[in-house]
Amino acid sequence: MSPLRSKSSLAGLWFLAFCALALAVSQHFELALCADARHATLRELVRAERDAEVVFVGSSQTARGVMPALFDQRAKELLGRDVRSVNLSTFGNARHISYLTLERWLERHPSPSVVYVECGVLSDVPEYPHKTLTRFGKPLDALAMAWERPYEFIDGREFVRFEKSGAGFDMGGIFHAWSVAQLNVDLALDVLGRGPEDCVRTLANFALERGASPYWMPGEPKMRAEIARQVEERGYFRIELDSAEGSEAHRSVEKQAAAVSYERALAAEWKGSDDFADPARFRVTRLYAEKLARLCRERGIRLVFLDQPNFRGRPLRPAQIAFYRSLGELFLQDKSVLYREESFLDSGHLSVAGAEFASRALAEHFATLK
Amino acid sequence: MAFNSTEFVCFFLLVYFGYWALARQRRASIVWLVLASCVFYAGWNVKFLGLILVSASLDWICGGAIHRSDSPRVRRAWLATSLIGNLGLLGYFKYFNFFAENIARGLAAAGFERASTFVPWDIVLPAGISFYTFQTLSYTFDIYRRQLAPARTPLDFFLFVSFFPQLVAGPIVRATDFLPQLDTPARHDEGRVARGLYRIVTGLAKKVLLADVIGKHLVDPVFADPAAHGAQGIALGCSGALFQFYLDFSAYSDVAIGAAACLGFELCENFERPFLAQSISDFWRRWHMSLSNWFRDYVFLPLGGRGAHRLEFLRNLMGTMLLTGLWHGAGWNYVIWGLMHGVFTFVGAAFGTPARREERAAPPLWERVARRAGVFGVVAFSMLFFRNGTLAEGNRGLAGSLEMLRLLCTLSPGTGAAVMSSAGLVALCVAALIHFTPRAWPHEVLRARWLALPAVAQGLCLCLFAGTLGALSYAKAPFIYFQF
Repeated sequence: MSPLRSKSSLAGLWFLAFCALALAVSQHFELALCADARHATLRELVRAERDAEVVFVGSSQTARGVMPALFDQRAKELLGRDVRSVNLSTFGNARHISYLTLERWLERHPSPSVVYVECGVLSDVPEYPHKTLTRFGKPLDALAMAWERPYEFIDGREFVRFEKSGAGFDMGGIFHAWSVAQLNVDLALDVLGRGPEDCVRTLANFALERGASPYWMPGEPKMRAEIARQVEERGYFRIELDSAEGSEAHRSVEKQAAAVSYERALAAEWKGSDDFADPARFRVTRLYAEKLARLCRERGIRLVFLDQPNFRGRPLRPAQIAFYRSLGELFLQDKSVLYREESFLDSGHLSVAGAEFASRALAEHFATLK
Repeated sequence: MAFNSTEFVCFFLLVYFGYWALARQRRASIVWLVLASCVFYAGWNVKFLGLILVSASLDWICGGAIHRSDSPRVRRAWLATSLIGNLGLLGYFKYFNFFAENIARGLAAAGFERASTFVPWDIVLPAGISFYTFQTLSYTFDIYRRQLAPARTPLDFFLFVSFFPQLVAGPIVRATDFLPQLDTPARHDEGRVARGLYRIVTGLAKKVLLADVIGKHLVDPVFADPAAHGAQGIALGCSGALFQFYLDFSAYSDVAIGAAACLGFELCENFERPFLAQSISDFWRRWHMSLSNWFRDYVFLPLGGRGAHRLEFLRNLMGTMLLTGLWHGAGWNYVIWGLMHGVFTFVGAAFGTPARREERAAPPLWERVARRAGVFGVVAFSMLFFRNGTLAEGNRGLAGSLEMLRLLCTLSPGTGAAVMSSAGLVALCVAALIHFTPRAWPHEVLRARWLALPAVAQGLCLCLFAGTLGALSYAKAPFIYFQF
C-alpha cells in the first residue's frame, strides 16, 4: 500500500479536515473564546444593541482617556440634542485590532457619523503584533495578514535590538524579509488553527456554565468590591490617584516631572531623525490607518485621528502629522492643561481628571464638526 | 518553530506527505528533509543557519581528513582543528560574556579600575548550538577512534547535523546510529508511524497538561517569592521544578522521537523513568541519557574513568560534572549544580553499594523505596540552583538560590502570603502517579486502544486533542531546554 494511503496518513488528512470544519463552525461563535478581559470587553461592546453617533478606537490610552458619558453630556450641552458615543478601545490594542474592531462594529450597527482613531508617539511605535490579534481575527483577516506582512518584529525585545544595532549582516535584506514573512505566516496560522480550540472552549463553557456566561474560565476580578462601589456611585470605574495602585503608577509621572519641566515640554518639538518618513518603517501603523481611512470613506464616516499624549514626552513627528492629515483630520489635545501631574495616572495614561478634561475637549471638537 | 504551535503542525504534515511521496527516490527524499530542516531552523533565526553550515562543513572536512590519514600527528591536528572550531563557536556564543564578566570583576577587584567598566556584549545565543555542536563533535571523535566511516555525501552529513526533530533540543544523536539509516531505502512501516504519532500526542499532552501547569501554578510562585512559602513550600517547589523539567524535556524528546519515527527514522531514547533511580549514577543513566552518554564516552572515560584510586575517580568525575553543568548554561548556578551532582555521584559510587543493577542482588522493597526517595530528594535539592539559573519566571540567580537555601536550612515557616494553587499540586500528583505506575498501564493499554481506532476516529481525536491543548495552554510556553 502507498504510504500516503496508510492509516496514519489518512488520520492526518482527517485531522486537517476536522480542523477546517471546526474553524468553519467556530466562525458562528462571535468572539466565543473570551480568554481575558480585553476579549470580553470587545465582545460586549461589539454586541451592544444601542447604536452610536461617535465611535472611539484605540489602545489603553483611549480606553482610559475617553469617558463616553462625559463626552455625550458635553456634546448635548453644546449641540442641544442627544449624542451617543461608544469607546471601543481596550488595553493593548494596536492599530490592526482597532481596524478589526471597527469592522465588527459596522457589521452590526449603522455607520456612526464620526470615528476617532488613536494615534500618537506611544501608539505608533511598536511594530510587533499583540496577542489579542489571534483572538479577534477571522480566517480572511489571517490570509490578508499572510499576504500583506504588516508585522516586522515578534516582540518588543527584538524591536529594541533592531533599533539598537540594525539588521546587521543581511544579504541584501533577504534575511529580514524571510523573518518578516515567517512571522506573519506564523501569526496567520495561529488564527487559522484556532477552530478546534474555539469549539472545545465553547463546549466546555456550555457544559460548565450551561451557556450562562460567554467567558472561558472566568477568574476572580481584581478589586471587585472597588469596581462595584465606583460603578454604583458614578457609573464607571477608574483607578484613582490616591489608591495604592494609582500612587504606584503615578511614580513614573513624578519621575518624568522632575526630569522635564512643564515649560520645556510644552515648547518641545520632535528632535532627531524623522523615522516615520521612511516608508519601510511603521508598516502596520500605516497600513491599517490607510485601511481605516478607506473603510470610513466607503461608509461616509468622518475620520479623526486623535493624538493621545504621553506625559511630558516626545511630540508627534512632522511626518506622522503629515501622514495623518493626508488621511483625515488630526485632533491634538491641549497639552497646556494635560501636562500637569494630576492629569496623568502614569506617564502614558490619563488620570480621571485628565480623562474628564480630554473627554470634554473632544466633545467640543465634535461640536465644531459639520 | 515550537512543537506546540499550529505552525509546526502544518509544517510537519507537509514534510510528512512530501517525504513519503518522494520516498522511492532516496536522494530526493534526503534533499527534502534537508530543506525542511533548514526551513524549521530558519523559523528561529535564519541568520544562524549559516552557523550550522559552518560547523557542519568544518567537521565534514576534518572527519574526511582524519579518515584518509594514517599519520597520528596529522590525525590529531585535524581533530584539534575540529575541537577548536566547534568549541570556539560554542565558547563565543554561549560563554564569552560569562567568562569576560568574571575576569573583568576579578581584575576590578585586583585594582584594575578600567575593567569595572566592562559592558557585556550583545550576543544572541543560536538555538540548539549546544546540541548540534556536540553531535558534530561526536562524528569527528568517532572517526578519529576508527569507530565510524565518514558520511557518504555532504548532504547525508548535513542531514545528520540538522535533522529537524532533534536539531534544537536533542536527543544528541550519534552518527554511528543515524548515518546507517540513510543507507537503507526508506520503508513506510505503518506500525512505527502510528506509534510515532501516538508518542507525539503523549509528548504534547505531557508538556501542556502537566509540565506547564506545574510550572505556572506551583514552581513559579515559589521561586518568585520563596520567603512567603517558607521551607515547606521551597521543598515542594524544588520537587515540582524537578518534575516540571523532566516532563518538559522528556516531552520534547517524545515529540522529536515520534516525529522522526513518522519519517521512518529511529532516534535514541533520552529518558528512562529517572525517578526510579536508586543512586545518583543510576539517575544519570536515566536522565538526559544522550548527553550523559556523550560526556561518559568523550570526557569521563578518556580522562581515565573510575581510575586506579578514589582520588583519580573524584578528579575525573568532578571534571565531567563541571562540564555537564556548564553545558547547561554559562552561570555559577550551573557550575554549582554540576559540582553538587559530582559530589553526590562520587559519594554514592565510591562509598555506597555497587551502583549497577546487575552487580548486586535486588534489595528489599523498603530499601528500594528509601533509595529512590533519597535520590529524588537530593536531585530536587539541586534544583534550588538549577532552576534559578534558567530564564524561567522568578529566576533570582545565585543570590536567590542562597537565600532559598537559607530559608530551607532555617526551616522558615513562611510569611503566610503563599500563592500556590491546587492545580499545580494536582498536576504534580498525576505526574508522579503516571511516573511510578508500571509501564504496562496506562501507557501500553492506551497505546493499544489508540492503534485500534479507525483513521477517521484518530483524526477526530487529534482535532479534539489539539483544541483541548490550545484551550489549556498558557500562551504557548516554550520548551525549557531551548535555552540550553
